[in-house]
Amino acid sequence: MTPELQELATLDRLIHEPARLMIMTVLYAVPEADFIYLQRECGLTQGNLSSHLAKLEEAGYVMITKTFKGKYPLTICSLTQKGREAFEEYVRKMQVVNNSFKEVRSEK
Amino acid sequence: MIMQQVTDSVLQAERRARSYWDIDGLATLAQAVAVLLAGLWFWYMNSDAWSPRRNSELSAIVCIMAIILDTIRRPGVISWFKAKITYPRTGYVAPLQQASLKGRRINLNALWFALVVLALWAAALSVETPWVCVAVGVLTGLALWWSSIREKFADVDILGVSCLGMLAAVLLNATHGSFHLQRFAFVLIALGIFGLLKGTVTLLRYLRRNPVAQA
Repeated sequence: MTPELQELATLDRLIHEPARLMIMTVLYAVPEADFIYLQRECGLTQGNLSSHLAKLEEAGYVMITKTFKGKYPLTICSLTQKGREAFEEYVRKMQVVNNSFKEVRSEK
Repeated sequence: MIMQQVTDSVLQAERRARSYWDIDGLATLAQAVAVLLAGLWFWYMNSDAWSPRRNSELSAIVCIMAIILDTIRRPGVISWFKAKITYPRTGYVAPLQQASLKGRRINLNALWFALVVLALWAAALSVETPWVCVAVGVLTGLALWWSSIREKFADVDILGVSCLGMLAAVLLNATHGSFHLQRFAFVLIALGIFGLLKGTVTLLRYLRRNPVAQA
């Protein structure tokens, strides 16, 4: 097995799932966001977003805090340090795969 | 290619989060009110009803600028309105101000733009007719609007340009007594009213497009 293929095998499956990748991408770009904002940005249903967030929270990638802004209840989500590092690692691995893809394409 | 997509998505998410602050027009309205108040204050201060002491003009300007800068730095009032209007509709995202200031390079186009606007103001204020100043204020508003679409300047530049203008006006007035401070008020008032209209249109459009989500 080539090292590039090995990188693919070690990809974080939790992040690799498209819906969770969207959530991680949005949360990586902002300090924190609430449930409604994430729902709009990712185009997910309430139930779908809840279940994906629960999985990410369980893995320690996302921190969920329930708070208030005035009288309005907010479910604030943010990436933890562990989540941030996991996302960066995921991107790094994809970069390796991407580079090998470019090499193959240029050889053809 | 895959990598580029991920990087682009992160950048796009960041850009969308940054422009989210202006999505409802509330920030524009707050800035417009500040500019309008500054304009009215300028007008009153330089009218016959006001008999200032020597340095009162400068101190008043310093106060106004301090209030405006405080509004930018700590937008507590805007946050209060956003909690009532925006968050229940389209959600909350933490403002990216600190991150953006850190990674932001100086936009030379914006600098040139501000200088051209200030030159236009200076030219208008040397003319006797007040309506020219009103027209210049409206033109400045239109130019800022156009530039915010074309160059992606933040709406905060309405305030930025006004602050620079006020400072320049006071300095010019101190060195050349012929500079008409009261006419400068017309520029600010026109710009403020223009900002109010723009903010109101943006807010109404936002409310129409985003009804409150039913639980």
